[in-house]
Amino acid sequence: MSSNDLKLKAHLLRRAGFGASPKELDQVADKSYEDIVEDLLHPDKAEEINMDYIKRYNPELRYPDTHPLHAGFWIWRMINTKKPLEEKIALFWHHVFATAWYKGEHTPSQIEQIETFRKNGLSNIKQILNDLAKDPAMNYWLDNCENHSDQPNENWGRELLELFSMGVGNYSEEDIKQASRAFTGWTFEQPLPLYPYGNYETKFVFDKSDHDFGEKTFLGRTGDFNGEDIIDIICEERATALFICRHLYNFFVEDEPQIPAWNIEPPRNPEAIDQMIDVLMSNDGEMLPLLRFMFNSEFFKDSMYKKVKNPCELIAGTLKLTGTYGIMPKQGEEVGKLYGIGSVMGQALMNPPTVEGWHTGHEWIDGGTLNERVNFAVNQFNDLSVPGLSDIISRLGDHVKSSELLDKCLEIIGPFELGKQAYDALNEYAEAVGDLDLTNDASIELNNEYIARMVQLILSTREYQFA
Amino acid sequence: MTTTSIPYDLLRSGFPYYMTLGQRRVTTAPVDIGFGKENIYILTKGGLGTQIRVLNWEDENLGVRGGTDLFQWPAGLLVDDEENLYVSDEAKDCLVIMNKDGEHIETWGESGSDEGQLNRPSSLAFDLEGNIFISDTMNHRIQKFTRDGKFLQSIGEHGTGDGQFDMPWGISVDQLGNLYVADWRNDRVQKFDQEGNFILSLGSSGSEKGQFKRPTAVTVDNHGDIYVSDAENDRVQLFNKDLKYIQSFHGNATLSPSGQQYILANAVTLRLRSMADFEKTQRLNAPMMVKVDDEFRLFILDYGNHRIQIYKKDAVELSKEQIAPEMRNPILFTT
Repeated sequence: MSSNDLKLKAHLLRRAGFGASPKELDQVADKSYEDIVEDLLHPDKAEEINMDYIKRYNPELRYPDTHPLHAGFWIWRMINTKKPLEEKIALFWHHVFATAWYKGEHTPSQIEQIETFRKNGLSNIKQILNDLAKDPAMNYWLDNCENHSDQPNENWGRELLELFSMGVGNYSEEDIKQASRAFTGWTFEQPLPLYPYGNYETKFVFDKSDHDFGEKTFLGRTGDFNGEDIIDIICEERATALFICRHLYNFFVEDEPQIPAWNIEPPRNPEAIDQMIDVLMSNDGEMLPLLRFMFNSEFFKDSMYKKVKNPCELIAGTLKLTGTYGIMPKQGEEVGKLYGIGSVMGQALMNPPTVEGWHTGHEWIDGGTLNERVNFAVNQFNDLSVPGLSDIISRLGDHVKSSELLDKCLEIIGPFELGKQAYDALNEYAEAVGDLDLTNDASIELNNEYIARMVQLILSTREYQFA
Repeated sequence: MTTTSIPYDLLRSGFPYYMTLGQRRVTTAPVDIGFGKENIYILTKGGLGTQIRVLNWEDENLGVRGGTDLFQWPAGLLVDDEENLYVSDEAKDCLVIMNKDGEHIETWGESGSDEGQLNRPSSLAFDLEGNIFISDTMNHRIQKFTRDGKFLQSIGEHGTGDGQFDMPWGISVDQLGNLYVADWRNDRVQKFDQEGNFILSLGSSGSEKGQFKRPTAVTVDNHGDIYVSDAENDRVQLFNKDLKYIQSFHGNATLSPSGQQYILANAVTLRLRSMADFEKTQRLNAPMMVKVDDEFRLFILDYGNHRIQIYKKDAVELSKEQIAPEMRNPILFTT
């Protein structure tokens, strides 16, 4: 197998998952690219994570009162899952259907929404939108619980069309009003209050007595529509397929203009988007054929390093490399900390800034967040005892010439490519270090420091910020 | 109802719910409980308080003892006759001892897997002489020490066979000095005699009666009844001294006095509670620890609901002469 093959597989695992540790790459080295895609698309066939230890030493996960803990736990799942696309697609839908904890401060419904994305994220657009419309966290976030038959609230109806399916310019103000009428009475069971015994779950309720059963005209169709009928109609529209495919392309393939510009800026690769739309529509909104097409396409394979990593990708990918935050939590590895790390990089999971979600691509980067991103990655290798460093050192062999050190490290960490400027600068460091004899016990500590420093230099490059 | 020797049998009248203590931000995430002459000591762990909370029987908050300056991942609590407080720390592999006012007396224990060393020590229990059993969880054994930390005995090793453990957690000693261990990852309870010899095993993996899903604690009352915190099944199971399944506790909580006081002072909370499904508020969520006292009160640490649910056994002790001999088979003629 050529190094290019492995680079492509690593690329796939960065995009469809959260990267791969050297050991995880070993496990797929002999599989074909297409077989890896199929494995990713069928998480039901993969092994479940052993959660005994994480729950044993983070027992607070048993009660849903503290959203940073559960959001951090999600990042822990991204690091440790054997079903990376299941977590990645959940993150994708969380980006698209952005729902924030800060309005309701009701952690159980936030957890449940993400769990729904895990379960249905690879299913069918119609199913996904229907589940979303019945999701209590979304219902409260966009005020549909206040959408009464005699006093409609159009917030959910508007965002369903504008931000969750068709996009601006593809419907009228009247369509919003009619759609909203169809969702009257879609509400949720009142959960018990937080005090005195903590948060309790809730669930969707259809209040028939509060539903507007009158005739509605929506996108040119007329009938006694309910919410499910509205979603059926939305899913027949090419605009919906375009909207979903642009989101998928932006999230999985290549950074695109951000959503507010979509009605004025065309896709960067209109041909790819057109192909994706055709696959989605010809398969009645099924996600698997579309994702299979996308991951196997040439435009996906050609998109290496054309995306800025989102903070979750950066954090989970780096921690896979260090081997920390694993199945057995160590002292100091409280999962809630992971939420804080993402937050300072601009991605507070379960707490997106607005209903529009996070702006991605280069908008992840500013003076503050870049510092956080680089420092985070580099600092993970300050501790020379992290298991990932031992693994890297063991893979370097007994003797490493200074002229080989950088290439070998890049091969183990990625396989990973640097631009010429960074490559030359890091090679200067390798030359200064000189040849390394890793069999010499007397210099083991110093050698470990040299190698850790080289890894830190690689992780501090501009290139490492890209997926 | 008190007893000094195990009765032949019991007429079980019932095991009614008695009361609830604590609430969120007072007893947040309770992991263990101990009793003083008047005070109740509740060990809590987590972001809203890693400490020992002190309550009285009126559910009044009497303050805290200890905290993160003394222990990081507290797991087990013991209270001796002088109301000194012993707390195991899974992060620092040690035992912290305080007096009842929370003044630090001593910390002992060191990390490792050799005899007398600890790896994530969790539950604690006194033996009949006042020595301390420690559930040495990640060394997959139970060790016994004097109160000042001198190693005395080690029981068990890693495995699934009789007398072996996979991450043992809750432990308890009965009035005859037998040791009971919640063998957490093996989904069973094991019993050992005073010398540490294996006697029996109770339970298997599952959710049926007599099965466990990650049992976290076990305790035995003076009738020989065995109570097991079947945490992932959100229940506590009761077995008699002959290991026969008797009943399960799923939770019957009412408002604790402090909880009631809080709600009555908050009009919105009052309204929301009246709109909600009341059923849910009674049930157990991850009962982490179970203990009984000499008055046959059963204390279930309802971890996920930040409270302690208490039940009180109602039973009549029977002599052998009062009850018909054991039957080999069931009969339908029951009048």
